[in-house]
Amino acid sequence: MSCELDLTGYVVDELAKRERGVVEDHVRGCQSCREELDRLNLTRSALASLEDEEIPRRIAFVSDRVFEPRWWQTMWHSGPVMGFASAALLAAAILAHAFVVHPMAVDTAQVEKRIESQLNARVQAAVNEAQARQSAEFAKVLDATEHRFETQRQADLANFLQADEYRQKQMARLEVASNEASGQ
Amino acid sequence: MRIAVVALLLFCTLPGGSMADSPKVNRAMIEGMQHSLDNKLSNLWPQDPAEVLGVSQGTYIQGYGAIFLGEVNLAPATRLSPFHPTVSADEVRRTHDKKMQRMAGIRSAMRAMLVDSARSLDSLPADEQVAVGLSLFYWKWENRDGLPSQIVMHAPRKVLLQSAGAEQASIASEEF
Repeated sequence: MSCELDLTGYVVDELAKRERGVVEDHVRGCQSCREELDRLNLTRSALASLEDEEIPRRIAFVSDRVFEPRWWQTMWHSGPVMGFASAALLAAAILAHAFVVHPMAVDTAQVEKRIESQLNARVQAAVNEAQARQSAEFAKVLDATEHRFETQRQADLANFLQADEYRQKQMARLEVASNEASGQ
Repeated sequence: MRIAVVALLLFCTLPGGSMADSPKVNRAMIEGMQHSLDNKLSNLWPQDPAEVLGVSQGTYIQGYGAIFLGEVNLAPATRLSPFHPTVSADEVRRTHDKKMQRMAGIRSAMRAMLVDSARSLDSLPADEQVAVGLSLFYWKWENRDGLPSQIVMHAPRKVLLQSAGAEQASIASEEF
């Protein structure tokens, strides 16, 4: 801003009546000053909306104890201390677990017996299933074999009977020829 | 009177009965034709003869004629045995082909037999038939497509005698 006017004094109402008139006349003709005055008015309004806060009456020094960190703040910000504390807590937890939490008593013999019985039952079931399946397959194959054998046997028997009949006819012919030859 | 009528009727029937009992074709003639039939069938293919099974049979039926029956295996093949338990497809085919080839020959031979029988059976009335029935033998494994089980041919004797040759004779033929 190039204008040499005390706009801040005008806003906070510290100017005399004549100086206020000069500012008002100038602001009417100067746009930049008018905008500056608006911004200052806005700031003043914002400040006016804030509550009044009481200024602390006590003055303290940096060296006062009140500014010293608490013991836990010291520990919190100290890496070694926090590491040691964590290790100590973990050790305490382990000790507590060792003394307080007793392991559950397990009867291994009973467990083994139970596992063995379940295992035996499953093995037996699998064996029974396999045996049943094998028996069924065997019976099926046996039936097919018997059927094939019986069919073949019937065919062989029929062939044999036919061959026998054929031979008998040949023999009859030879016998007749023999009789006729001996008769002559 | 009644007794006299009965006696007269009995006297009249005696000559007729004795005439009915005597066949026109005697057994010896039939047997001769049986042998002729056997020989013809056996010597039809001298190099590779057909096999006549059993003994051919002949008979004379009064009022019908003479009938001759025989059975023949046109193409003897290897028989099934423990040493030859199966028959190959080639054997089946060859046997079938051979029998098919011989069908014409056996039909022709049967026609010749009919004509020969008609000429030989002198006492057979001309109106009566001469019949030849031939059963064809097949093994169970054979292919019988196009092959009959039995051939029957017959014709009145006078027809057979009138024909110049067996092929020209009007012969009824049936195949089953």
